[in-house]
Amino acid sequence: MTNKANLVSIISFSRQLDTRGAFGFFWMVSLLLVIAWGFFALFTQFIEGHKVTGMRDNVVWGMYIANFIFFMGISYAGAIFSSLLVLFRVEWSSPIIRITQLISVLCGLIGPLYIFLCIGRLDRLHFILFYGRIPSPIFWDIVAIVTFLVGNITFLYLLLVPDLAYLRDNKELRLSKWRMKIYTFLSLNYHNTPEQQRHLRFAVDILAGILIPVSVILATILSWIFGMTLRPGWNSTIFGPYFVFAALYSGVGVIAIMMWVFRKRYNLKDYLTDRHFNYIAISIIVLAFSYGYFTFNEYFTIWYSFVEWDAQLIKKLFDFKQYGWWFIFSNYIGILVPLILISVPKFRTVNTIGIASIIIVAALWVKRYLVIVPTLETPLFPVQDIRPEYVKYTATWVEWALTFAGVALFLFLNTILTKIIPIVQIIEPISHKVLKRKKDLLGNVESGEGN
Amino acid sequence: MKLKINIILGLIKLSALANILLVYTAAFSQSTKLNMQYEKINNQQTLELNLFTEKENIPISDAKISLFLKTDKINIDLGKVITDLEGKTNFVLSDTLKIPWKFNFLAVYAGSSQLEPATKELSIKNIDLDISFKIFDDKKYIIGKGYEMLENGDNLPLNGKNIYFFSQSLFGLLPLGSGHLENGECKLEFPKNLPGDTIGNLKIIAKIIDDGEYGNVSSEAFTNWAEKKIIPVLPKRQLWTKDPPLWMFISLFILLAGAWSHYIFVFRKMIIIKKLGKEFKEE
Repeated sequence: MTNKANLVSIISFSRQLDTRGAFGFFWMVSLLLVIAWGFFALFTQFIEGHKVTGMRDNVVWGMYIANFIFFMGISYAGAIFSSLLVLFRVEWSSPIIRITQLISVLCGLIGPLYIFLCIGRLDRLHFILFYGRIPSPIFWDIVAIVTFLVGNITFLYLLLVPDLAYLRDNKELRLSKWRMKIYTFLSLNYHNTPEQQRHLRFAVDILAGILIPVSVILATILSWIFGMTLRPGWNSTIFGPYFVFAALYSGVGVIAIMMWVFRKRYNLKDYLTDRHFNYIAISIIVLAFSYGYFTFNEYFTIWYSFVEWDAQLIKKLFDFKQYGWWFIFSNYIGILVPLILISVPKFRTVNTIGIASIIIVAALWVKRYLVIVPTLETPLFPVQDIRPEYVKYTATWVEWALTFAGVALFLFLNTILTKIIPIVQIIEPISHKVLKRKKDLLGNVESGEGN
Repeated sequence: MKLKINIILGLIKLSALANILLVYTAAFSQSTKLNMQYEKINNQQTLELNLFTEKENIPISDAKISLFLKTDKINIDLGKVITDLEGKTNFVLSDTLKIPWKFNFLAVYAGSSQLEPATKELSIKNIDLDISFKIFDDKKYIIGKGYEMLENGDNLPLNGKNIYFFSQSLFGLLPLGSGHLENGECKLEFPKNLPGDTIGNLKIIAKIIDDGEYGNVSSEAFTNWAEKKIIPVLPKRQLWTKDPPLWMFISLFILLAGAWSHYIFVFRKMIIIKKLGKEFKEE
């Protein structure tokens, strides 16, 4: 099955598969330390209970739920993007489909972990199976997440199968035995026959087709946990599409960051080209406008109607002594700065797109926090005879540790998986620019030069 | 001589001091007032007592009041009661107590160092009220009868008194109207559209209120002339009930079935791919 064109690709990616060095070592050690710190925090919470968090009688949800929404939003967005790119056979998309889908799967696995952290009585987790109430949005969310994860992981796996088969059969790279075992086990006896290609293509298209509505529905159901609850700032009819666009906006930000990092780290300029970044930039512009539109709608209607309980929330969000700066960061800086950086062609470079994406991701995390905590600090009835520290939420070191541990876990798993699988598809058609590069490299390979 | 003068001076001082004390006590001892009311509900007879200062109407709590039934010969000691924080207290007359048709109650408050004693007498005639229900000329009436219970056991019909009729509602008594007793009888047309319980039962109460001769007397009876209460049958499948709405259940089932059927189809494809690969290997 080896052919010279794919050999060139493999050689290009061998650096990604086999890169070792001091930087990689320290990177992994740092991530493991952060994860270990998170485990210690988890152990502390497990032994002492939720009193080690900032959650109390009034503010019953805090950073854990913000993290859950953040990660799940990115996961849904990744699934939507990769499904659209696969389904519409977008010519330039091959290099980014795998990155997108990997982000989607990893975030989809990490997000629900925060729900477990938020549940006080894990010994009662099975109650959801026996006593789950169908009219509850939380029940819908759990069922939907399980359905989504199965489809998402299967989709990623099917996209990997041809590359795994190629790596299995490749002798030139001289991959280690354990890798060969993994590739052999996971490759589904795939030998790229026309019959197998047909079945595989059909299965991939089916999954891509179903994942788009599933992801949109899931993002909407996630929003309904809040939208169907009678709290100021939550009970809103536009929460469904608002959450979908927020998810897409944060998802494209993470995708851009990952592309930026992989391009720099593994020297993948020929595969993650400026053209790809331009297309990502256009997506960011469109999504920034959409997300900004929904954000403006949401807050402007609340502010204008000035219903008593909503007015209290608005005052809190606009007060610089409380959440005013956070509000400015998430709703102004998070939308306008990326727009300015990316819309102006003079500023639009790969690096500025990467920086803008970091701002987007940070702003959207803050946004999820602002959706949850200020609302819970704004009770429907006046709070009497209660300690001030119970009314105001402040995250403790346990919650911060577990938040960073989640991010570290995402990066750690990402790093591990990209050591096993190529980050860019090999067997699928690749961009024209790379074909030209491949021709150049082919000459080098045949003459025994270059790597 | 000097001694005599000193003694006389001492006595004058003492008497002056005593007078000052008396004046002081008199200036600060308050007059009190004791009110007594008689109430008869069905056959339970109760005396309601209320003790307060006369000038400022301040209720006197924790005061002991003695009650007597005055007869021609002696005063029968009925017992003692203590007032509550509002200066009120009740005394339920025993069923075994033989009371003549006209009875006089005497309530005595002995007073204290700062409160003057008070007494109250109440003369009450023992009467009874009956309620019945009859239909005349296709109209429904509540018939109220009142009579004095004489010493010899006879009943003397009451005249010239008003009986007030009420029905028992959830939070109190609903006034229905009144009737004037003539030859011991009065009637009131039963109101239409009066709500009762699920089978139309309703409690009717007849009262004589604050009468000088008879006190407060009331009697009760039940009738099934009221409007039957219809309890709406709550729908079973609602958002808040144990069983969810059917449309919700079906929608969820369709969505999940749709998604998972696609997954099952894909898993089948994966099995086919694996089989085809095995065949290719064997070839």
